[in-house]
Amino acid sequence: MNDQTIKDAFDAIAATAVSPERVRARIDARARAHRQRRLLLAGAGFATVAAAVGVPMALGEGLGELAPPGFSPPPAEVQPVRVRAVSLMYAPTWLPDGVAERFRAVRFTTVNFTALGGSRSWYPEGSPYSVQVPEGSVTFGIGEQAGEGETAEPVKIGSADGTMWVTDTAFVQWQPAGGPWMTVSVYGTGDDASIALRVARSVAATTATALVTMTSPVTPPGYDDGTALFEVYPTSGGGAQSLTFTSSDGRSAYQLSTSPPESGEQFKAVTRNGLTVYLPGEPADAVGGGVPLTDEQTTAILAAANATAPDLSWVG
Amino acid sequence: MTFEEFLAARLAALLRYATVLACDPHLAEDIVQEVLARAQPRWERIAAADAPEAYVKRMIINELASWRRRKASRVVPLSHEALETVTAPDSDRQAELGERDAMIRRIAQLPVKQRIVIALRFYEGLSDHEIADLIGCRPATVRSHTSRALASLRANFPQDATRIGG
Repeated sequence: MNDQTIKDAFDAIAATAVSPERVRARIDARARAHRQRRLLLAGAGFATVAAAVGVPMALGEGLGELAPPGFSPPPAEVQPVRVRAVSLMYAPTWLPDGVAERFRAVRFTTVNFTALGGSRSWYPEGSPYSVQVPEGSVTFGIGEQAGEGETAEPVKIGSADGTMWVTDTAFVQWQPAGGPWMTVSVYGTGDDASIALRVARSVAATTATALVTMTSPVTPPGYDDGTALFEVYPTSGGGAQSLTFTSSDGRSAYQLSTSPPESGEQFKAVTRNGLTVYLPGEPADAVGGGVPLTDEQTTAILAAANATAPDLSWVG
Repeated sequence: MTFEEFLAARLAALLRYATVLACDPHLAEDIVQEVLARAQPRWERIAAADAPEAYVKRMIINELASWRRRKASRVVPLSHEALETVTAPDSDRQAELGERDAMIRRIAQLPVKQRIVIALRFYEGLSDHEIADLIGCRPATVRSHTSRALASLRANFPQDATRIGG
């Protein structure tokens, strides 16, 4: 027995690999359905940012100990929270019986708080908010175009031409003249397609707004003309909220959140008004592409960040 | 490179890579599918990195380790044919196994970390330092895994007169 014996054994094992064609088909189908559901659930918020800062755990080793939230900026520098109302733009006027709103997100320009889109989710009554969409749920998204399924068929939504396709979820997508892309998805109701169509056809412009109850006056370089996404959902502790800033070129992002980072993730945090605001740091070996914040920038952002209890009057 | 271009160019190689690490083509299929489905939504960032394939391979390693923890599965394929059927041959069949198939069996029985290190060394041709970077440990740890794995592979090979892994 020698090195060649081991190499030959590995070559023989490698030769048993399955066909890439069938794996590719499954990846395409699964990724499409998953992407569409997540897009509609949270825009580019919790899911995307969590993915951006997450890296595979090193084998047998974590990413290190949680950094203690030991940062204490001088209170005198903190501006009071200036709650802003951002338009929800459109809303369904019909929903199936037995659902209650559990999640809201609004995307807006950081320059003048102009609404760009957002996402709202209704779960079955009694179901708490979770990233995993439970059966019997309806989600309405604005400003994001989900990729169509291969079996998409044309539908009419008012005067607009739209499409509908069904995977494990029914999707209806359309763009009214001069308006943003909109998508309704319905999952696990037993009658997803017809409910999705009816919800979509009930959508109308609304004057309702979402209250952004977190502020971050410090703008790092590259974020001057960027966008922000505010997300809020009810929790047993009174509600969670996050504010995600995306740079002007769309390649960099950072998130302030009242939810603690996952174990092993580096972060800084500050507590004000009884709320702790966390700013996760990007691990040194995370995938590149964006420009990570410097230590000085994260300190400055947290020194000026502030939040107050979120508005949850909309929770069903 | 777009995600589609990456799949077209590297999916077959990634499947072989995962199969070698897992010693199970069906588990490898599940792991590669899982990893790529997770990578696709953030492909723009992954592709902007210096070596997207290395990143995906690292994801495969970590997914394999976590998959093993979750499922506590222990698949012990015994030969090329057994890798297809994932069933243990009877004692008569074992006796017929050649040296290569005996080696496959020993590789498959290695603890997952030792098998990963051995696969990266002999199939991928990586150095101790490269393996350490990939799996996130010290080179000394790699050498320790390698030493133990080679000792296990040598076991019960009475004809072994050649130093392996040297």
